[in-house]
Amino acid sequence: MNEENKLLFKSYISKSRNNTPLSNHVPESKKHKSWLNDWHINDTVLKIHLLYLGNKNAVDGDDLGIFAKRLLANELEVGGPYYSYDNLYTNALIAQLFRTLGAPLEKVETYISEKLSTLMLCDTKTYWSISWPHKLSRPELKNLNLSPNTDIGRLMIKSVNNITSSKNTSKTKRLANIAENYAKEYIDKLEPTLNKVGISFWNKIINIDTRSEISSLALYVYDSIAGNEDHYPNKSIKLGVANIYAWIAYTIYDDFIDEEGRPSHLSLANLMHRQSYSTFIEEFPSNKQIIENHFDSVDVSNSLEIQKYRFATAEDMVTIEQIPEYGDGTFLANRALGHVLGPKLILSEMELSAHQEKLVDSIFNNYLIARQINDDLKDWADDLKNGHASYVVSKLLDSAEISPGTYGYEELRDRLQANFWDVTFESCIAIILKKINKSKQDIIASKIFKNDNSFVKKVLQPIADKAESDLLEYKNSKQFLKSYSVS
Amino acid sequence: MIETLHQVLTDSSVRSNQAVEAKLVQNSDVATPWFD
Repeated sequence: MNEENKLLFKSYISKSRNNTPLSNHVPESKKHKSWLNDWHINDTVLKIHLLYLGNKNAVDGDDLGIFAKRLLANELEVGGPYYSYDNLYTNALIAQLFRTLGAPLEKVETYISEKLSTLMLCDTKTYWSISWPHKLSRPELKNLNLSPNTDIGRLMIKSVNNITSSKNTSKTKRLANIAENYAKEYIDKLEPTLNKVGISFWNKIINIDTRSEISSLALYVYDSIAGNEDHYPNKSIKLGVANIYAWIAYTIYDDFIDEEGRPSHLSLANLMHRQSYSTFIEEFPSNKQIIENHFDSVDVSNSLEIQKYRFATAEDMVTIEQIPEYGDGTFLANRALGHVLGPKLILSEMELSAHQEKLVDSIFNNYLIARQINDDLKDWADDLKNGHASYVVSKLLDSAEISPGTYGYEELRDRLQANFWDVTFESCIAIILKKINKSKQDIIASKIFKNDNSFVKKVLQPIADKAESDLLEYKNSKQFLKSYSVS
Repeated sequence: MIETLHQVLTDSSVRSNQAVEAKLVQNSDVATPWFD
């Protein structure tokens, strides 16, 4: 380990206990990048790893493009191992880095495992390299002779001993599971044909609900209200169940709106829709009007979508008559209003002023709009092909000044592509961030919520983080290709 | 990008500039071609 890595390692170990990122500790040589080619492979790998552990953004696409070529130059076989005078140590460092990156190198790990099976003794740095920060496959450690006599050696052993096991499942995740299972229990009781379709849609919803936004939005909002204690009433869980039912119903209805619906799914959609409505009514019988207004808003918006936000398509041709206007995005929020019905019912039990009620609407509308634009960004090419004039598609057509007329899909997509990456992508990311910020500002202004609350941390912030990371990923990918392509 | 780096290292057919470019696009969450 060279002197700069020793400093980085010491800094990481001492600061990581306080969860302080290493972002302020990017050394001067990081800026010059020569270390990526000039340092010994071990130190290069270690430095990338330490920088990444401190701050994911400290390693960019340019660094990894150069690093990819460096590894390929040392490759013994495709996928590893990689050559150096100290093969086990080098490959352990590489394996550790790729475990941290979330992309383990299987052949390198197999190589390490085989090497270790014949090893009786090893030095501190090798022991550390196979143990920190991830425990790689290894034989019994009792045979290893470890008596570090340097500061860095002692720190290496200490770092291995300080590795903590992963945290238990969070409380909200456990509650999300209760809501998910409650919905599944109902579906399990359906007659076999409906049950089969029901389980496939239930799985689909649970799989897309990676942050438990569908099953736990009401819980997050309940938990965020100032004065609410750390306990979750059964009512909040039932609202999650009702939301899962509604998502299943409207996923099927959306298929019909897209003219891809299957009649065999329709009965399940109706059943889930009715079940969602009756669960909301059961939990909030005196708020029938709010519940019906929200369901009406979604259905009216779906009808409007077919009338105003569709282009005719036929045989890979798209006919554009008029590019729809989305204005401030209210239509996007209305279309998804059912998703925030649970939280709104919870808030309806509070005595809010007219101003606070207005802020509540703004908080959720901006959240829904940001969420929808985020989804539309990924799907614009497919949406265009299917004649769906989504927010992003409309913005693109407008920005590229596409006139009314009939176009071949591929030709039109190619025309829009450059505009998407040069203009629309960044401007949509900016709109997402602006909407999330507005929602956060209104949360503060409403004086309803705790300062440090779950709705911001688990729902709003992840959308902003995702938007920023999408933009960074795009920029990094371009850099990666540029530095990788230089011969 | 990390997924692409992994593919470059583990699959010899993903090493030409064109193949890397195609993988970067394919692996992007915003799965739309972005090079001319």
